[in-house]
Amino acid sequence: MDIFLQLLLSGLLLGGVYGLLSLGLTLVFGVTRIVNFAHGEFVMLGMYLTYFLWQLGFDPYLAAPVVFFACFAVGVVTQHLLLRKTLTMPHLVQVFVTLGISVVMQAGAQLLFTSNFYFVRPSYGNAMVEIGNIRLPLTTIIAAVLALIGTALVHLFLKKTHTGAAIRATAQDPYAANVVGIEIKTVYAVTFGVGIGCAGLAGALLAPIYPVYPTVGLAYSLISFVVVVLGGLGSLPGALIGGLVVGLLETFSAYYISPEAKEATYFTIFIIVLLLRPAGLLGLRGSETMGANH
Amino acid sequence: MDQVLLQINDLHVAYGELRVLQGVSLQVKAGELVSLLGGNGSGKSTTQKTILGFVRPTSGQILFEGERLDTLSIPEIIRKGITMVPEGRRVFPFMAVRENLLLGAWVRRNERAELKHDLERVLELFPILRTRLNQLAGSMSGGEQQIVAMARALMMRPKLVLMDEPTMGLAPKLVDEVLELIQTVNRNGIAVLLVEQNARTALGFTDRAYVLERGRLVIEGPSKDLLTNERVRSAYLGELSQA
Ligand SMILES: Nc1ncnc2c1ncn2[C@@H]1O[C@H](COP(=O)(O)OP(=O)(O)O)[C@@H](O)[C@H]1O
Ligand SMILES: [Mg+2]
Repeated sequence: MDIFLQLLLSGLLLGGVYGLLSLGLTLVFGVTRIVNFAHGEFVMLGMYLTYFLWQLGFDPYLAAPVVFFACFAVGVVTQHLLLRKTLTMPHLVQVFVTLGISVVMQAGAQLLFTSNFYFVRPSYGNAMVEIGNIRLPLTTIIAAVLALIGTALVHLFLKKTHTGAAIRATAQDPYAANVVGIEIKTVYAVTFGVGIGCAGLAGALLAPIYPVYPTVGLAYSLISFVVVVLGGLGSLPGALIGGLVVGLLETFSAYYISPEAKEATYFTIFIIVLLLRPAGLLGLRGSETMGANH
Repeated sequence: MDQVLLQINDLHVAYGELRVLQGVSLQVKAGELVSLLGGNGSGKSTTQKTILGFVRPTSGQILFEGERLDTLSIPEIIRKGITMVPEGRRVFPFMAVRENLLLGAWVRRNERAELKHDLERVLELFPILRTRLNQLAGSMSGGEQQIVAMARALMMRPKLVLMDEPTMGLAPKLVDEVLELIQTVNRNGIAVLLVEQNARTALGFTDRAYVLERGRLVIEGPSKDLLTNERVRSAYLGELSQA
């Protein structure tokens, strides 16, 4: 029973971070209709940034907001320079552009940082929190709490600010958004920035738990794709729910099957969902839900 | 009320190779209700989109209260006093009516106190929306959505509203209701440039009308004169020519 509770809590905590990670991917898709194959590479970027800030003496969790805004800026610039012109082009063009970004970022990381594993190890890095017979790493708890706060802030931003309203309006009907005078080019850039910011922030929260290396993004791209397919492409609540489900599955399969079963588990879920419920758990309402549920 | 609000001179518009407008000149005076008629694909929507700044003309001029519009952005044009009720209503389906209306004043989003007044004024014009403010626009009927779209366009206190086929797809009873609301809007001193499929309806209640055919204006004049015009009768009113 204790083992079960331990796995359950670990899975939910991990899932909270996956939720934030996938929120970025689903938001970008919901608004701009771009499937960002470089999403995981921006997690990698966030992890490296956290690593270097930590080396400079920053606590990784204090670095996290800095990483968010840095990645936000990177996202805005990337959208402006590389993706803006592709918005009216066939989807395949966008796929290739984001794949290209992913390859370049991996190669760049390899060049700059070598393929060594880097570890972020704050003094409390190995601390455990005990609740009864359950022991959980402090870093995982902090990561989950901050990820949930980040997720809540993104939702508030979308719901309560003028820019958030413009983003939701554009997701629901870009033409109508244009008609009322919303500059949808700006909306696309800001949305991409927020999406990449979420990826980077997730990276900052994962850095004290997992090592960073140039190809680490592949795993995170895979996770966020599974989550987003599970939760429904473009659905914001779906990202959190899907994140929790994948976090649980990963934790339980690692314990009961084998730690190496992780990727096989993702793909199995991926295929089962696509077969049984291609629209995801919450149904494929895509971007449209962006107005309804929050 | 004779002051010219919108003046279009020799407007040419093309989508790539396709020349859609080929020398359109028209005028809307302050407070006027003008209809723009024409068959499918004759360029009516393009004319309206060009006025609002969606599409850039290849040549020609658009003047609003004497100022050039054709180099301004959409928000700048909206700020000058032109808004649009687009074809197909295009409300934001997963937003409440209130949020739809407030987005109509997006360009003035920071003027909080005034927006409250504008919302109140618009609700006085469209009282049926008052009890629906929290309803999702997408859950409303076509007629109700049309009213939301018109109300949204009025939130900017426009001097001219471009309406593109506002009665399309509505049941006859609702058509009358929407037409009445257009007249209510117009009686409040707002000029309307109305694109309407049903020529008889449009000519029955507008002041003047223009007829577009393949990107050129072929007939223009007071609407009641067009009702008896031979060419209009045979081509747009479904009546066999007597001649
Ligand atoms: N975005 C566009 N790109 C290319 N051609 C277009 C576009 N919009 C309209 N057209 C073409 O321009 C012509 C006029 O269209 P439109 O102004 O919508 O006509 P109407 O509103 O009178 O039916 C049509 O031949 C239409 O196919
Ligand atoms: Mg049209």
